[in-house]
Amino acid sequence: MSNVLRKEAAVTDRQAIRNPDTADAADAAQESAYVLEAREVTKHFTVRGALGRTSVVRAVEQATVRLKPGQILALVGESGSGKTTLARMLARFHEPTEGEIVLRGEPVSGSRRARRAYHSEVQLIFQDPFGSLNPLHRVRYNLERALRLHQPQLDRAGRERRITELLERVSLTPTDEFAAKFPHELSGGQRQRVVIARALAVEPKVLLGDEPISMLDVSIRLEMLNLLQRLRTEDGLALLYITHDIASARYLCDEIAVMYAGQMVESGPKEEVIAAPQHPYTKLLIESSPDPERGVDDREALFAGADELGEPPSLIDPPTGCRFHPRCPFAMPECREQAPPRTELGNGHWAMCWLHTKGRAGELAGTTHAEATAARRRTLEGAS
Amino acid sequence: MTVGTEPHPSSVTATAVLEVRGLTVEYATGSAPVRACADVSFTLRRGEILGVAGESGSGKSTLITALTRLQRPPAVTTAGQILFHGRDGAPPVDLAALDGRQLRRYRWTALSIVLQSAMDALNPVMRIGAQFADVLRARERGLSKKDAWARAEELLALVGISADRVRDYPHQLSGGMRQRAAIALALACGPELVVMDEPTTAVDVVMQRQILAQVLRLREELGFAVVFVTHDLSLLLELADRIAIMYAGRIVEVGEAADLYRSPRHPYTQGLRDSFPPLHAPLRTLRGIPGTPPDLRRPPAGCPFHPRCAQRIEGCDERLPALLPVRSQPGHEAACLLDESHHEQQKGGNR
Amino acid sequence: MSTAFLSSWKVRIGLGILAFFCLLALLGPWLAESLLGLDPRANDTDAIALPPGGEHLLGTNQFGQDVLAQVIAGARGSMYVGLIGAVVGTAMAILVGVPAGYYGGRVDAALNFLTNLFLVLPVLPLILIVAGYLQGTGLTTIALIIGFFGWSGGARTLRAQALSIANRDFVRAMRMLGEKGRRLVFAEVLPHLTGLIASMFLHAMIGAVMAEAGLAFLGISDSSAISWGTMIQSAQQQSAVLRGLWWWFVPPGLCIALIGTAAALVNFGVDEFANPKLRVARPVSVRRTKRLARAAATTGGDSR
Repeated sequence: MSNVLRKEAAVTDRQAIRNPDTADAADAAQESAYVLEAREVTKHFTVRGALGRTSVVRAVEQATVRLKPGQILALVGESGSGKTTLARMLARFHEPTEGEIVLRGEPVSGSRRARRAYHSEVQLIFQDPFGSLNPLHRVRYNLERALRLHQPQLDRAGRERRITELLERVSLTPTDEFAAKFPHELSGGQRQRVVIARALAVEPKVLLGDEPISMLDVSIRLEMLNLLQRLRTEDGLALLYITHDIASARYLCDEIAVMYAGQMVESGPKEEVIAAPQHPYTKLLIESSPDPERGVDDREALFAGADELGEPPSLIDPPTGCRFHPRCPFAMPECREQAPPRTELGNGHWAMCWLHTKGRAGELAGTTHAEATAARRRTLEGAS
Repeated sequence: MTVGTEPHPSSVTATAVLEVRGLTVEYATGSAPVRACADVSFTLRRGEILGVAGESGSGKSTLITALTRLQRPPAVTTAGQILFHGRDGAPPVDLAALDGRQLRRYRWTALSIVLQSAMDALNPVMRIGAQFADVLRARERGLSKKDAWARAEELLALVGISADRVRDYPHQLSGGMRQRAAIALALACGPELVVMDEPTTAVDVVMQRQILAQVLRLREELGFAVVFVTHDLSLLLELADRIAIMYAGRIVEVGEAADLYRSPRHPYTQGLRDSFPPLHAPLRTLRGIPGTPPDLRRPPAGCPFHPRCAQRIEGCDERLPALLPVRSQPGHEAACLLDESHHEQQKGGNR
Repeated sequence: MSTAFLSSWKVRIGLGILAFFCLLALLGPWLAESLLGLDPRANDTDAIALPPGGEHLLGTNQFGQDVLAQVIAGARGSMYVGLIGAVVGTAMAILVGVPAGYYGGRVDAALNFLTNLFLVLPVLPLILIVAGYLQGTGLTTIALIIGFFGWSGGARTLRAQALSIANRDFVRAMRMLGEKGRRLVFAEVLPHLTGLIASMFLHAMIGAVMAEAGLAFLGISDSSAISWGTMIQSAQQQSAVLRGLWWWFVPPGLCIALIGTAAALVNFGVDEFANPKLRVARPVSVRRTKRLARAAATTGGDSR
């Protein structure tokens, strides 16, 4: 009985938070401040298996992302967390199954013309700089096509000037030399700069970076992040930085959103999220990331209990309730039954975890994932 | 070289299991051979984890294939020795000089390898257990099929994979499980040395942590030594006992992990260390290393790093610095003219 | 890329043979007439069915026409059919295969249906019927028919390739820039298929040469035109094999066989080039590796 009541309460609670009207009508000015939003987008892929059986991959479930001009939001998650699918929906490669993409407060339609207008404001930087430039075209061709399509008023000299500017912008100098090169004559980092310059030629308001540095050599990654940082401060671009590397996310971004198994689990200002994660998965992710500062000395402690951390679930048949509950050392009966509500923690920080509703959030700070798992195992053994 | 004169933090004996001397590997492509590994020397102690860090083109993958003798044309080992010291106290064997048949005696039992992609190591059309049984029974003639499968279950249990998975095919396992199964397979015949080529690059951070924890635990239990090759220095700083940094086919610095992190001697090591933004420490603007790694077909004269080096001095573009011990830090070696031992050597007029 | 491709001796010999026949087709008749004074149609009534010898290097046929002059003239006829047939066939393969692969969906379904239809059509009987229906078949008509019925295999290959390229990131990136479909096909996708198309074209050309010979042998040809096919056909009509008049059918037959060989050689080269596994085992690479290992063994001596 009480269970049912609680369920109902939770549902209304969730609706109140989810309903964009009530949330946004409160502050209309706030809404117009967002340049790009994904509102409650869901993406299900139908895959055909052997023998004609079809199954549905629930890649993204009701994810919401909001970008303000001049803001960098990092979307962090492991492979299969849905972060790339979300980016591809924002880049309009996939249509969302549910929910909508909103540009400057206007929901975008699927027509070809609308798509073109959309792409003059939103551009995606691909992960693989070796795949996203046609090997048969020179650098100049890529920039020139972008300018011809998006700045048709420019004459030949104007385009030349713009190409020089763009290449200078991404520090590919001498520009004449680089403009005449083919992709195979460039290093990975230089190619990624060309890709960025091509995106900038459109003069977009939003850049989506799908792991833009993960395929580059370690020593040149920071230069790329510094370049993105500069684009934000100088041009006021909004940037969605998708990554699995939480340390680079902290270096570049203002806010972090964490995804797990297709769901957003936590989001907030980066230092708050990293210093005091409010979702057990965020905590696990941060504890698992290498951090040389933390300790070349105490290795035993560093790796203690890290033997069994579990793995993300299948997205074809995800766990009910909170998708993290099978791995979670704090899991309660509620977690199995129902998706947790979103708890606002102030300062734009929120988490979707039952611990907050049940007043157990304090437990997160005092322990590590490994310790909590060990403690839980001991309790379970003691009980049986 | 550095054969165990200094105390070692781990509880392992300080005898060498592998001594690599002057290993040079060249690729027979184009008109002139390309030297991908040049004069690489290091010593690996029994039970030690040696991390090898380098970027693309640093020669770290070439080093791996040369060490394990898995290289294919056009790569050729043109000089150097790979001396393997067995547990039995027999005189060392030079792995580089063995032919294919002699080498078979050492594969799996003395030296095994874990590749970046477990799919390359596991046969997609054989059950996991059958692959373990194959390896086990090839080394141990008398082993019955049933016993071999039982051993496979034990080995999988070592890396936390439940026994019922033994009948699965590789594609039925998750990526992380496959990689752990590949590690278990590498340990099947009790090798003294496991060479790991970016074993965690294809898996996520949480799984990476899990795999590393297991490698550390198994090393304690079984006492094998590890050569762990990766591009991720931040990972090695947490995992390895000692770290060797490779650049343009050469080892430019080698030392204890903590030393290398706190006081790197080579500007490249410094740059590489500062290429990893911190997770908790206060943020500052980091630069990485400007420029791009050299083209090994046309290596720069002198120190290969000098075109990218912010601290270069006179002579860097002429003289190739040798890998010499750092005075103030025992067990630490660096190949940089800035280092004091190089000054002295210069004064002495040795080179 | 092209230089690496040409470094294979197989490719060089194959292309050399083809170039020779192309030149022969272009300049041969003119050279034969002006330099050697040979006319393929001139009847030398004093020399009927003469074996090869002084005046007629390859002998003469039943009308006293010079066989050498006929082979040279036949080269023009056969290569003409080959060229036209290949142009028509390749063009149709591109027009059907590339859009099918690039656009996918309904376009693909329709075009793929067409391709499969032509793949399973019994082509030879159909050509016979069509040729019989079109009275007075000239070489051009024969070439057009051959091209029209022989594009489906190429279209299938191109469709598969275009499909994989259309899903590459650089095509996505250009589409995101707002490039129109047609331009994406021609500027981004098609240039990646040039190697494949060139090799298909070569194949189609040789196929058409052979097909023309085959059709001529079955009696579908322009009896007034001279091609290798018509030469073999007339040799067969006169039962040259039984009468031991080998110089009537061996020279044109050999030419056709040579062209086939050339195609095979070029193809081996293309395979080696396209398949990196074969490239590693390429003789050049193996030789180089061995040389380096030997050099190391002699200088390094004790170490290795």
